[in-house]
Amino acid sequence: MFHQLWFKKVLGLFVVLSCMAMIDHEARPYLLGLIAGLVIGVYFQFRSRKRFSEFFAISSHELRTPLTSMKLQIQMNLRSEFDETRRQKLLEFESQVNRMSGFVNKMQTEAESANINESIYVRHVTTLSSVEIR
Amino acid sequence: MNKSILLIDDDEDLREVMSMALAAVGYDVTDFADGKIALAGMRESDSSPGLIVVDYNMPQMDGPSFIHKVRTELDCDAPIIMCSASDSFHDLPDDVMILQKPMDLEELINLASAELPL
Repeated sequence: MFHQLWFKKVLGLFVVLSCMAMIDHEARPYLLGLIAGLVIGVYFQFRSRKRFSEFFAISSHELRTPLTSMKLQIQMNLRSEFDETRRQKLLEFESQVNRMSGFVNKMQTEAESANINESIYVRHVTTLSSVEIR
Repeated sequence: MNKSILLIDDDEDLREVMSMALAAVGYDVTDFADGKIALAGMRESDSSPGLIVVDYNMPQMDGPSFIHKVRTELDCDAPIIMCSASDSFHDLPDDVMILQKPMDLEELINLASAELPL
């Protein structure tokens, strides 16, 4: 619920209403409401970032083992493949796996830096999709 | 000359491909799915391996615990390569080599042959 857009909108409305109410002479309770709203907002924003960070760290870790398996298998096949067409195809696969590996490493770096935000997440997922589609 | 490698990784596909890769260059590879089973295998075996390649995270006994037992209980001083999908490592002796997943075939073979020349 706390990560839903409607909740954030309600929270924002609450903050705005609190600010408006401060104009009146009985401002103290509303000021307290405003502060409480801000504290709650910051708390949930922090929690949201933490979850993104954890998600990135776990995904990165989980993807590395299958990527290693694919990479080693491709490179083993490349060692024994002398047909030029097949070699080229394997080299393409290797290049794509390397791109994925780079992406996974970047995810780990992002998770560690703890500066995760939704725009970074969306950008990474878009990159992942484009790798899969190719 | 001892050319035997003990390979321990819980991922079956990776274990298979690493085993094939190391066997292809001339090593005798024995593989296990977990540190606990590998320890039992080492206790039963007459000879100790020339090199140990072990994963960091495993379900029953993880890499660091396995290494600790190998060094203390079995008194085995074979070089150890730790393959890991993690970036942070804890409780590892200084002489353990670390290979970060996803590694290249060349990296694996070069490190293995540096530690255990063919």
